Amino acid sequence: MELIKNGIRIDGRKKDELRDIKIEVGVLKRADGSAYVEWGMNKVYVAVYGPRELFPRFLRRSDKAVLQCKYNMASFSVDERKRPGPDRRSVEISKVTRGALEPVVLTENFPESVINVNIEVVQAEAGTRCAGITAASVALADAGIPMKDLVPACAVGKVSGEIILDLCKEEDNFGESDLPIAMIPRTGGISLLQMDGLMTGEELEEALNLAKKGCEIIYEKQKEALRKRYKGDDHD
Amino acid sequence: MTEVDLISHIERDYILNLAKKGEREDGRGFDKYRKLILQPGIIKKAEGSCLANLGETKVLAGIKVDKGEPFPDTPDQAVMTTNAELIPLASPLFESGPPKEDSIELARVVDRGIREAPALDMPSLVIKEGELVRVVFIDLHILDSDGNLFDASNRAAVTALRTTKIPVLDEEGNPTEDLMPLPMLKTPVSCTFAKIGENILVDPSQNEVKTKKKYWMQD
Amino acid sequence: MIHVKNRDIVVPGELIATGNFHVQLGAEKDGENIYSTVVGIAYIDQEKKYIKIVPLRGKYVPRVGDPVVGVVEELALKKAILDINSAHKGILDIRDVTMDRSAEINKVFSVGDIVYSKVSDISGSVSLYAKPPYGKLHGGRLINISSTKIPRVIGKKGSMISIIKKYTECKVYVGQNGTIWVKGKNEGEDLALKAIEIIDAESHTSGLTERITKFLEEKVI
Repeated sequence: MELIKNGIRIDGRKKDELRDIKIEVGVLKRADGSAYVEWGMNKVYVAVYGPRELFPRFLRRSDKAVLQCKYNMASFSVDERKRPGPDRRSVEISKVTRGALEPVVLTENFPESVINVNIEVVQAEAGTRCAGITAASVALADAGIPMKDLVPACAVGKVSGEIILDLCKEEDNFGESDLPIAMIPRTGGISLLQMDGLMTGEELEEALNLAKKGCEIIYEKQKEALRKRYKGDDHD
Repeated sequence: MTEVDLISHIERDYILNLAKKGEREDGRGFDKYRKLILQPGIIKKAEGSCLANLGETKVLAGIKVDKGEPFPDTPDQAVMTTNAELIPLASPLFESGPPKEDSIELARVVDRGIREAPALDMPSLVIKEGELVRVVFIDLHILDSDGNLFDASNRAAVTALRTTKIPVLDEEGNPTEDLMPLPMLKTPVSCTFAKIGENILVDPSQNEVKTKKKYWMQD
Repeated sequence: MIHVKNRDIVVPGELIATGNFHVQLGAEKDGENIYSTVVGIAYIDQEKKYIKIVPLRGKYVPRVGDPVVGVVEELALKKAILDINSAHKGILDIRDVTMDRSAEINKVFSVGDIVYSKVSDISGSVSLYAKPPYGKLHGGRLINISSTKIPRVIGKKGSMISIIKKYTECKVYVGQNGTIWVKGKNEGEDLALKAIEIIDAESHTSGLTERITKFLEEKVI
């Protein structure tokens, strides 16, 4: 399969183009904060509850809130029906998602409590963990939980020797390398970095630069989605 | 306001007093449903799907159709199973983990409504009697819990089934390029009531559920 | 140097100002830079050099002395545990309710009661005090809004709340935790709740006091 020809990818995108992304804030009534992201064919809901009391008590920390993240895929979200419930992949993604968000959440403000982030993928097509982290940042902000910054996330990779942004399913399955990355724009820091496959040092640097560009675009979308929620009419 | 399944006396008394006057919190009549919005086909990966918005309650139903062995005691019928996930996303009261009694009850009640109508023409989904049948998975994903999960789930599941498309099979049982709808028979419509004081109200909202004395479902 | 306008809606990570400003709320200093930590309205006083970002949403953060309106969730041996829309529950010890030493908590309160109380201590758990003028509330109506909007409901020197009380002829107890109790005639209660809903929806706009006054005047005629 030719994944890229004359700089045009299998789905018509250029190397540095993101798929269509739509972010909505405050879509769920019961949650303290919520967001919905459509990213290519991915459809992801995130609900945030908290800060609230943490049970069992022995998990409580006296110096800060505990951040608990749960990533889950609906049975019907993938081609072959998935059995309900967490599998090993979901558990790992839950953990790295927490790692991606923890550096920005000001958990010291709420000792002895818990902040729950629930990520539900209802349709999946490559890049769900990045969509989840992107949506989770927005949902946390919507819940009024203080944060240093929002966390945009996207994947970069290598197909047919070329470094590309935001892999689609075929690129993820048949490409040479896949790197999901989450960034903290305010500091330039990286809070998630995982890699599959092989890259040289130079390729990795090119990939990180491309990821930074992608994250900048996603960051603007996150901010715009939050502002849009509260733009009422100004009665001045 | 609270995370326990609780309503304050003041809010409960308000709903009871309104009911005595023939009124409800959101201005509905006792026999009126909240606004229902159905979006079928929303999950392209699934053979069928439907997002049901009933007021603020949101239920996403996904239908996946596979092939498999029939149950030994019904060799001439397709297999259908219904699962419900009351995921923590949907309410501060829902916990993660294996299905608890509420989600099992919800799944079984929705399943019975569909199975016993019968909604699905189970015999016509047999490929080779006793050996190979279609297997229909109905997965209910509760996204936002604001009362009356039963009816929202029923609407989502039935609409999803009615808009499902499966590949036509050739004589050997292999899928062709053509698609066909699921063979449907009856359309079960569930109706949930709550008893508030001495009054019976249809489609209870979250606060009405917390105030109720009794809860009924009727197909 | 200021990077946003007064009353702008800002988001977490947004650069608000650079220089020697005092952060009152909703932002943090990082060297010379001041960044927002919440989604909220930025208020900047250039003269007094302070920055305050009022969050649009968020759980209530208890402060000692705050009046709160809470729901009894649980009764333990000598205390009631209340939900006050905060990260932690409020604890009301029987001794902070009545002088009667032999009183039992479940004779005084039941689960689901609404209690008007004051935050007395926040070291460890949140302790509440409910002796008169505080105590259990009977009848009336409740409304829950974000605790961040409560200052708007009260208004400058109580201006907004006085207008509501005057036109609706209701008793109004405002909990800093976002729960408000009103009691009066049915129409008065409905009107007070409607006014509060409008304040909640339009809290970030200006001219709100005049609009609410006009709204109430028209309805009462």
